[in-house]
Amino acid sequence: MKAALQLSHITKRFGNVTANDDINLSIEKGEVHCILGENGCGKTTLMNVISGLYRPETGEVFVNGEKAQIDSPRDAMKYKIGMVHQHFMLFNQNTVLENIIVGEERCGAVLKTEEQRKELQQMIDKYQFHVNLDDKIRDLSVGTKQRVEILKVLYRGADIIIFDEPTAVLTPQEAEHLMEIILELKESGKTILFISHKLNETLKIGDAITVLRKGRIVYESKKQNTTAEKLAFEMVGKETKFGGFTRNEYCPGDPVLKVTEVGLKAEKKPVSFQVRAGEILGVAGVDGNGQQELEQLIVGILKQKEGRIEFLGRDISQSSIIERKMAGMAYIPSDRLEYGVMEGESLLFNYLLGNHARKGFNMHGLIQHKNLKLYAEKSVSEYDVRTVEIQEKIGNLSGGNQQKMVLSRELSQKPKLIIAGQPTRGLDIGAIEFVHTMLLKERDKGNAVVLISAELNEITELSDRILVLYDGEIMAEDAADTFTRESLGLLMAGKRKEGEEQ
Amino acid sequence: MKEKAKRNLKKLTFPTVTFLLALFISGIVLAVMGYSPLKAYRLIFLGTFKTTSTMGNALANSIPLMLAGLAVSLAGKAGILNLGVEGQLYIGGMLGTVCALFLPVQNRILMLFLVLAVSMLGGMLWGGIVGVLKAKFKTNEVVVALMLNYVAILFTSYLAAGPLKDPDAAVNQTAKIPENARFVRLIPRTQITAAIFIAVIVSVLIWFVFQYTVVGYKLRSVGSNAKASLANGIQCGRYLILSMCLSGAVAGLIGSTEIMGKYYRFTEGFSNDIGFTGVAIAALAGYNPFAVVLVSILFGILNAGSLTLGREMGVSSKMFMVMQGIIVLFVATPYLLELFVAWRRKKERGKS
Amino acid sequence: MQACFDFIFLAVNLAVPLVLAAEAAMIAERSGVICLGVEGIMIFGAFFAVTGSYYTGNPWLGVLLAVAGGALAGWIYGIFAVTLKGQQVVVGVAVNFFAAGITPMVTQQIWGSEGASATVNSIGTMDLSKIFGGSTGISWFVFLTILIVAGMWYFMYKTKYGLRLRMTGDFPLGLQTCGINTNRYKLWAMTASGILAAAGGAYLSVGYGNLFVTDMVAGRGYMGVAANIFGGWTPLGGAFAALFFAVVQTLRYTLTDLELPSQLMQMLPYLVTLIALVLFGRNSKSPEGLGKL
Repeated sequence: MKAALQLSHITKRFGNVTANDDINLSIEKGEVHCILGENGCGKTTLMNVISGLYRPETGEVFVNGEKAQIDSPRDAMKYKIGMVHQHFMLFNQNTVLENIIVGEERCGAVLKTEEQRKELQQMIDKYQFHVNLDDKIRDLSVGTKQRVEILKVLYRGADIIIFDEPTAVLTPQEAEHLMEIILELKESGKTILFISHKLNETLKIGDAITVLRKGRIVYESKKQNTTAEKLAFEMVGKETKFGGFTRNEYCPGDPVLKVTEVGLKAEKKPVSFQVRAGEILGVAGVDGNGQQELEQLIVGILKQKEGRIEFLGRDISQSSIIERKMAGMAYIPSDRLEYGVMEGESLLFNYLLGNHARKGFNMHGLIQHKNLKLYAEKSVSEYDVRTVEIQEKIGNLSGGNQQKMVLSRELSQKPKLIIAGQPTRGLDIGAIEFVHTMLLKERDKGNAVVLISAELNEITELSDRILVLYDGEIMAEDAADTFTRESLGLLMAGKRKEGEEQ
Repeated sequence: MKEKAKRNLKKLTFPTVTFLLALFISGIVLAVMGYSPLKAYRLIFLGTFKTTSTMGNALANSIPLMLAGLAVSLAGKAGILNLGVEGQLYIGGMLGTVCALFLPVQNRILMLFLVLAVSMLGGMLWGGIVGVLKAKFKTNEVVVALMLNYVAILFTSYLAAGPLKDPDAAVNQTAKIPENARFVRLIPRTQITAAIFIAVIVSVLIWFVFQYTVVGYKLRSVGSNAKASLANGIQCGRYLILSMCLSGAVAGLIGSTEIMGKYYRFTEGFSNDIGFTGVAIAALAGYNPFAVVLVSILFGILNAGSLTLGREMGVSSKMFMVMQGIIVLFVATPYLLELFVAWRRKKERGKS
Repeated sequence: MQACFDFIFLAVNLAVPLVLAAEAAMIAERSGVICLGVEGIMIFGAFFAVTGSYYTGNPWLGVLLAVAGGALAGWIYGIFAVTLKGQQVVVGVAVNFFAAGITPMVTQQIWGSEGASATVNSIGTMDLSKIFGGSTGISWFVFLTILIVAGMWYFMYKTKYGLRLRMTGDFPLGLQTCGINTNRYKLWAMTASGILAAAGGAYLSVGYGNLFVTDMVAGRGYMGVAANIFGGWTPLGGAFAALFFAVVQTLRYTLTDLELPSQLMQMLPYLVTLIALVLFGRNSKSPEGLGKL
C-alpha cells in the first residue's frame, strides 16, 4: 500500500540555521502519526513545509505515491492536506461561518452562504462540535476556537490533517475531548499528523511515533514497540530524570506579598492570597483566566481599582512600578517580547531597563556606563547568556538566551519577591531547566516566588502551594501535594468537586 | 575594534548608497524634463565652491535645516514622527518677533537670549500639544501635527496681515525688528550668523542627552518598545510628551534664528517647507545628531544649488523637494537595497 | 430659505473631495496599509485632470487620465509600502513630498508658471437655479460620489473580496494560511485607493474649478485620513465624517457677515478636524493588523 504522505530528503534552512536536515518520513493512510520533539527541534518548520507556508531548499513530498509540488497553502489544499495551527488563524471580528469559508467561498463575487451553512451544520452535528456558525470568534472559548479550526480543515475536504501542538492551550478535559475527536476523524478514514512535545499524549493517541531532535529524525517506532523512557531519551539526547530537582525543606517565613480583595476581572469575585518568604506559589490556570491581570496588578502596570496589595508589610497599592522594583520586586513578564525585552536594542541597553533608577547605574541623572558594563557583563556570564558581546542586539539571540538575559537583569538585583509569568514558554529544554533551577534557588535563599504558568508539570514540580485561577476568580488554594493532576485539570476548567460549595 | 569599524562602515553605506541612488533618479527626472543632469549637478556642486559667498550661503542655508533635522531626530528617537516642525517654527518665529519688536531691552545678548527663549517656549507649546494628545487621547500624531501646521501658519499669517502688519508693506509682514535683536553676520556678504553655533551646540547636547543621561535613556526606550518601558517603570506618556516638547523647542528656535539672522521681520510663508526637509534629513541621518549636521550641510548645498539651477537653467526650485521625496522614499524602504545587494551577489556568483 | 439651499449645495459640493479622500484612506487602511499618501495622490489627480482637459478639451477625459494616473501612483505607492516592506508612514510622507514637488515643475514646463496652470474646460455643475433659485448648483461629481460610497459599502460587506480585504487588514497571516496572497489584496486596495484619491483631486481641478493651482489640495487628503479615523474605518462612517468637515468648511464662505479675518475662517476646518479627532478618534477601532504585512 502506498503511503498517504511521504517526505523525502527535506532540508530547510533559515540563514545559517538548518531547521530540517534531510528528513525522510512515511505516513500510512488512516493512521495517527505523531511527531515528537522539544521546542525548537524543527517540528513546526516541517509542518509548514508540508502545508506550503515554507519552501524547502531540497527534497520532495509525495501524496498517495505521487510527487506533489506544494508552494503555497492553496497547493496543500489541492492535495487535501489541512493544518490546525498552534496559534489559531482566526479573525476575531468575524463570524464562525465567515472564518471557515474564507478563501474557499464557493460562490461568485457576491457572498452567498446558504449551501455552505447547511453543509457545515451537518459536519457540526456529525462530530458533535457544539459550534454556532453565527457567533463572533472573539466570544468563543479556546476549545471552541480549535473546533472551528478543525471545521475549517474539514470544509476544505482535507484527508490528511496536521495538528500542531493542539493541546498546548487546552485544559486536560478539553484535551481529552480533542483526542476523541481525532480518533473519530481517524475512524472516518482521515490520516492524522499529530505534532507534540508531550510524551504521554503521543503514546496515548499515536499509531506510529517519530522523534525529531535538532532538525533530524533520530527515532521512529510503532507505538507498541516503544516506551516513555525510550522516547524521552531520544527526544533530549541524554538520560533525563523526571522532576529531579533538589530543594531545601519547606519552611516558609513571614508573608512577603499580601493581596487582599483585588479584582482581576470586572464583576468577578476579587482575589485574596499571600506568598511567604521561602516558598513558591504556583498559579495554575488556562491562559486568559486572569493571569495577565494578576501579574500586571502586582507589578503595578495595571492600576489597581480596589483592595490592597502589601509588599514586605507596606501597602504598595499606590506605589509606582519603579518604587516596587526598588523595594525588591522582580518581574519576568509572560509576554517576553512585548514587556520583557527591546529586540532592537543591545544587551547592555536591556540590562539597564528597570534598573535605571539604581544608584550604581544612575548618579544625578547620568548613566554610569563603566559600572553598568561591569555589572552587565558579570551577570550575563553568570546567567549563561550565550552572546558574542554585550553590545549585541538582543533580538539576534534565541528565546532561551533572551529569557536568561531577563533573569539576569531581574535576579541580579537581589529581589525579595519574584513574579514569574510563564517563564519557560517557548524555551528549549536546556533553558527550561535553567529557569527552574534559578527559581528554586531563589526560593531556597528565602525569597518568595509567584510562578504563573499554564504548564501543569511546571506547576506541580516547582510549587510549594498552588492556587488555581478560573475566569478571574480563585478556584482553590492549598498545599501542592493535596492536588492531583486530575483535580487540577478540573479546577482549571472551572469545575469543583461534587459536594463543594461555590 | 575591527568589528566596530566594520559596523560603522556598514552604517555609512546605507545612507550613502541611498543618497547616490536618489541623485541618480533625480537625474532621470531632470533628463525627462529636458535638462542635462550632468550640467545640473556640476552647477550645484561646483557652483557652491566657487566663492566664499556662495559657500557661505550654502552653509547659511543649512542652519535651519540642521535644527529641523535635529528636532525631527529628537522626537524620532522617542518613536514619534514629528511632522509638525513647520507649525512649531512659525509659532516660535512669531513669538520671537513679537518679543524683538516690543521688549524694551537694549543689550543685544540679553535681547537675543530672551527672543530665543520665548520662541523655544512657543515651539515647545505647539509640539507639546501633539505629545499630550497622543499620550492622553491616543490621537494619531501625524494627522494632529499636520492640522496644527495649518492652524499655526494661518494664525501667524493673520497676525502678520492684521494686528502686526507693517502698514507700508504690500505683503503680509511685520515691521522690521530693531538692530539689537539681530544676529551678527560672521562673514560679510553671507548670511552665516552665530546661529550656526547654536545649531551645533544643540546637536552636541542631544548627543550628550541620549548617550549619557537617564532621561535620554528613557526617551529612547519609549521609542524602542513602549510596553516594555511601561513594565519597567518608565512613564511612557510623560516621556512622549517630553520628547515632543523638546523637539518643538528646537523647532521653535528655527523661527527666531531665521528671522533674527536673515529676514529681520516675520513674513507670511517665510519657511518654505524647512520642517519637511527636516524629516528627509533626519531620515537619511538615521536620527544621529552628528550625522544630521553633515547631512544638513549637504542639503544646504543642494538647496542653494537648486536656486542656482533656477537662475542658470530655468529649473524650478521645486526640484529640491522632488529630491527629498525620493530620498525619503528610499530611506523608508531599506529592503530595496537588500534586494539589490542580493541580486548583485547572485550575478557575481553566476559569473564565477 | 434661499440661503439654506445655497448652504446645503455648497456643503455637498465641498464634501466631494473629502468623501473621496476618506474612502481612499478607508480602503487602503482596511487592507492594513497606513495610508498618509492620500494628499499626494490627490495632487497628482488634480494635475492629471487639468493636463487631460487641456490637451483634449474634454474635462471628462481629464478625469479619466487622473484616474489612470491615480491608479498607477497608488500601485507604485503600494509597491513601496507593501512589496518592498517600506515603513508605511514614511513612504506616505515621501509620496506627498514627491507630488508636491514634481507637479509644479511639470506645470512650469507646460504652462510656463510654477504656481498655476492655464484655465481649462471644467465639468461644471448641474444648474438647479430654476428649481431652487440662487446661483449655485450641484456638481455632477456629487452623484458619482454617492454611488461610489454605496458601492464601497456593498463591496466591503457583501462580496467575498470585501470579506477577504477586511480580514487582510485584521490578520494577514491568518488569511495567508487559507491560501490567499494578502499582499496582492493590499496592492489592489492601494490601487483602488489611488483611483479614489485621484478622483477627489480631479474634482478640485476640473470638477469644481477649472485650473490646477500648486496648493489647491491644501490638506484635504489628511482631512480625509482624519475623517476615516473619525468614521471608524467604515465606508459610511468616513463619508459622514467627511460631510461634517465639509459643513465646517462651508461656514467659512457663509459666515462672511461676521467679518472675521479670512485667515481665521480658513483655520476653522483644520481646528474642527483636530477636535473631532481628539474627541471621537479614540473610540473608533482601527483594523487589528494596521501596518503589518
